[in-house]
Amino acid sequence: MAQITLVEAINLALHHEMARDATVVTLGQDVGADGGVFRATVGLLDKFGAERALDTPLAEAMFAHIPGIRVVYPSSPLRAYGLLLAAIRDPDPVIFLEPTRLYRLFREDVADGGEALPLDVSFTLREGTDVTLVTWGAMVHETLAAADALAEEGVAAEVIDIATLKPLDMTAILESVGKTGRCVIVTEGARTASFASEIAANLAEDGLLTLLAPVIRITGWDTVVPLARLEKHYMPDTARIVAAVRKTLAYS
Amino acid sequence: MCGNLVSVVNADRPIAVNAAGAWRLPAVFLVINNQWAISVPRTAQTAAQMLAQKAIAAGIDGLQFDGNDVIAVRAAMDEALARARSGGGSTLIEALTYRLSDHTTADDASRYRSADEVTEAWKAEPVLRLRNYLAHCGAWDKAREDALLRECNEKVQAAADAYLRTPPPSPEQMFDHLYAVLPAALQRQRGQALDGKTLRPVEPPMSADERR
Repeated sequence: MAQITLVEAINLALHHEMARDATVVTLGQDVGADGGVFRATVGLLDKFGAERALDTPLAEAMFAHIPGIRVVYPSSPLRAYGLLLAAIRDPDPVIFLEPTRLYRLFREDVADGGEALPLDVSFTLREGTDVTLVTWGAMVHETLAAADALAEEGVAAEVIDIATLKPLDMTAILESVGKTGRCVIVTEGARTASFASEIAANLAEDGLLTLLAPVIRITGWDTVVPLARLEKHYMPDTARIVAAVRKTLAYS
Repeated sequence: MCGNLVSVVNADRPIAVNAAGAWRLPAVFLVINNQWAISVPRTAQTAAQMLAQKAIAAGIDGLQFDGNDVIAVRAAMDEALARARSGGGSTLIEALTYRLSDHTTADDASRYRSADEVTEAWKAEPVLRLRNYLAHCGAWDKAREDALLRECNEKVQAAADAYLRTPPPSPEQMFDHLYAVLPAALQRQRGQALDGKTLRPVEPPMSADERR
């Protein structure tokens, strides 16, 4: 089995699905001859022809607030492959957000077996009893690193990757917080009206009595995202996540 | 207002050009048509014979000219600016040219266009054309060119050195220029950003008495 990156997993899933289902086409800017600006669509034009791998003029983006759609955000090569297959097969429109920062960050074994992962459910990546860490996409990497650091301090953190933002699966999160009583939500987006806020509100509404401490959101700031040299001060890092967990554990 | 090929088919530009016509604004819309939107050729972007004709839909003047001829570029701009400044309204001017290099350092244009096409396009490269013209007029020579190259290299190097000497901005600068007066919630975030290791203490919940 090949060890591949997240962007390679996306390419693998696209090839698989376009071979399996003749009704699947790929449309977009530079997806044909160029193989995609980030190489996500390499080989599709050669294999499936210009009728199915089409370069298109520039188009407007859809917004995630539109009702009746799904929003999916993979965090690893394995989940990118499985979730993209599920997204393509889903009869409803799906916005599949690809974190370019993770495109080539690490490799995983991914079997090209055509097995889709379920949409609308979250993935518990690590089990624990002391605190629930909820996150998605590019922040999963940092959050797992924070869980490692916490384990060295004797704190067992449970890590949940929600994967499908919309429709959101709160079941696993509520069960986890029922067990741990404490929750820290991590996202690289800005704080106000972030998706972390949505999850925190749901916890307040449906899990209030299980909480031993306030829910903490670790997010980007409500500022313009800064240029490269300040980016690390904007985005959540392991230290901020660990500090938040310590805070929630100390609350009484 | 300047834009490349891609911007012409983007939804915002037709809106702007139309508004400029409807309100008789003193605007100049310069489109640099280099024939490519990364790997997608102009013919796949639009069926229009030229981009300047999109001025007709907006009810403003349109002009297409040789974008590889510096003197023609100057003449076209002068005409459009004069019209705008004299109350004659807006113009959409299209500079016809060709993208000789790859789109970015991450691009490899040989994936989607032929070497022959690029070689042919180099014959119209504007700076070479201008040099030949000036030399032919007796207004340019090797000595002047060497001096200019030296001067340009020095300027570029000085600018690069100055940038590299610039200290990195401090984290609190992320919060500058957001509001005239930074709101309380953002002051709190600013404090957290500056002291990344600890969080502001969480206020204990109000008792029922305090809430009344």
